[in-house]
Amino acid sequence: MTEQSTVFIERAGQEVGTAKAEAVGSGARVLIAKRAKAVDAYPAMDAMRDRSREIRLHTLANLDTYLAQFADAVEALGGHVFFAADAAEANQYIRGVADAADAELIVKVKSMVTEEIELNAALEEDGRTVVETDLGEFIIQLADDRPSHIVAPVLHWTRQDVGCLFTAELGVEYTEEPTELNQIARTHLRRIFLNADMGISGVNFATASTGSVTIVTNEGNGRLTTTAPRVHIAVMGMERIVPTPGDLGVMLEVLGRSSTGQALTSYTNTVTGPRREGDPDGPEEFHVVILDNGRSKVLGDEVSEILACIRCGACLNICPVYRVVGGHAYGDIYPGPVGSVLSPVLFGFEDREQLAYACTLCGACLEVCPPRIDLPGMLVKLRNRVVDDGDVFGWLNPAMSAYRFAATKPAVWNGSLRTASLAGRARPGGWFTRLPGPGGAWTSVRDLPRPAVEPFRTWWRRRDGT
Amino acid sequence: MERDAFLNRVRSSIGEATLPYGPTVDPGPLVPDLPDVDLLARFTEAVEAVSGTVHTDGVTAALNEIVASHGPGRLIAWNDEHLPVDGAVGRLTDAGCEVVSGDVPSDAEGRRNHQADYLDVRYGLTGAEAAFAESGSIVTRSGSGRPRMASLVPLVHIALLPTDQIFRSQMHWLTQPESDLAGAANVVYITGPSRTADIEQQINLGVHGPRELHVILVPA
Repeated sequence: MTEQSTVFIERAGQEVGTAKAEAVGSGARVLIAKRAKAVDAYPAMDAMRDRSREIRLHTLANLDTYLAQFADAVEALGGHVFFAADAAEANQYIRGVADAADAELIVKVKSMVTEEIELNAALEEDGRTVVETDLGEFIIQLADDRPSHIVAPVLHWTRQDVGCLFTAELGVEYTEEPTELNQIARTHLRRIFLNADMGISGVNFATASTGSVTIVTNEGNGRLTTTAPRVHIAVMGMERIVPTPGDLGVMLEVLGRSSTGQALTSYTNTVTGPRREGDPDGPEEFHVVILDNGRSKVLGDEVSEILACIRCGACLNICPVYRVVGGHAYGDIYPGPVGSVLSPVLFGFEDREQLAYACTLCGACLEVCPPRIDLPGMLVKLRNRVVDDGDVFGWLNPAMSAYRFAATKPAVWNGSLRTASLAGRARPGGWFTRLPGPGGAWTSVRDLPRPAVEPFRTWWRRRDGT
Repeated sequence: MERDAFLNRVRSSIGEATLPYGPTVDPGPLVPDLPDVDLLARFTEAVEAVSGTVHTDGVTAALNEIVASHGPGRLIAWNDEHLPVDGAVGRLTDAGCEVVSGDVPSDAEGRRNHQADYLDVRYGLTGAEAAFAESGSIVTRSGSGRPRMASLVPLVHIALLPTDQIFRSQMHWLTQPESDLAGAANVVYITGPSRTADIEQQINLGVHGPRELHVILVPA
């Protein structure tokens, strides 16, 4: 029996009950209510979700074709496309573009994929200044913290935390008034935007037929990042593709409502190539980096459906486990149900075996996922794999053998029930919170109900007289 | 990585994938079946729900009202020929606003110098080629005489919208050929002013983009 990895359980144990985790829980509940209101107000939501699923599955099954079409379209517009096998290749290309552009000051709009490849660190190594411009990400960067939610990165921060941070890092007078904190960030970042040499964005959706990239934000930093600097680099996971603008429209109808409860976010920004002849403004250079970094492995896996994810965050908010443990317990940048499926397959199972168990199989995530990704089904598949590999919960195998032995032999079964009921009679009702031996592994994470004083079979015989 | 090697790897993964069955042809857009409504009323309600303002009392009255409440200030505007009424820019300059050029030089140095001038721009005046009643969005498109920054860098964005360009929803607009989403380098759906809810999920307006959005309806 190999040692079981308790990395998630340990981290979760440290997080549960902290102010940080409580803040994530209450923030997530606000987002659940916002989503519910938006979905109720839109009678076409179910039909649109079904269509979004069809579009995503069709695209994944033909991903190579659509990627080729997209790259051709971008190049026809005078844009540049780079196919990156992994994080190192992506970072190297982006550093090269920055070199050629003499880019010292770089602005960024929140992007999970650039967090994944740790792009900021790579650029800073060359002595460049990289500034995150989404208010939440700006706070994270100033504090050297990690995001706790893929849409709302500082869900775990209170306004007082932000006030103290701004006083310490920006030298402003302390305030905890969100309107004033917002104004401080606006003033600070405005000059940076207008002076930046290069803007780096993620991509919500890339449209194959036109070579467009669409970036949705509420703050307007997505538009500033892709408009003010001379060079724009868009970095995308290779699965972000949709075939046509019509398909893009369907995805936009479900994304905002599922994510923040908005019919459309404040700015849905579609960029198709660099500044054109006669355009008064916009970037002169346009680059797209298409990243694999393990995605082709995921595509060939039994959980390939997870690549249909559009990163709305609805499964995080609705997850009873996420709301209690918060985002950091998961250990990777993709938390919640989507992270529990994606992270082990993308980054490797080592120390991530328990993520498949960070789930009650309640099914709430499937209920809210816009393209109806079978997250609970995939978590069960991953559990099977973890058990088959025998590297976690190894204690379960002898326990299950013992169960099989007892359950298939009536005499043994009845005997064991009588033994259990003796334990129940000693202290009737309630729960075992700590069991000795192999049972201890169960009770270290869950309680076990005490057996009934009288076994059901005995009660049934007595009642029925047979 | 070479493009072909990258795509070959994707292709062989698709061969191994256990994807649920999806359609073999692109399913394409879906125009939602939404209840019939008065488009103008629904649009106005939706804009107000996202903290924007709709003006129905004519361009002159609306512009006067807006400038009266914020005072004269610097302005980035689309060229008159791209606005649905004549003389809108003149109306603002008559009221004391000063026009800042939206033409950004292409070289790095010139660009920085020009954009340094954008720091205190108060007003942006643009057209809107379409609007969505369901979400309260307007559509702006970049191009000659139509700077992107006019709807982005000022504190107050004023958009002139012809009333016959209000569509039931995004999908109703997008699925007709005139939409041509990729026909310009930048097409934006603008739904209310700039906002954030990053700090304790409390909504704040004007974080990086405009704090106010005024849609002035222009009778067709």
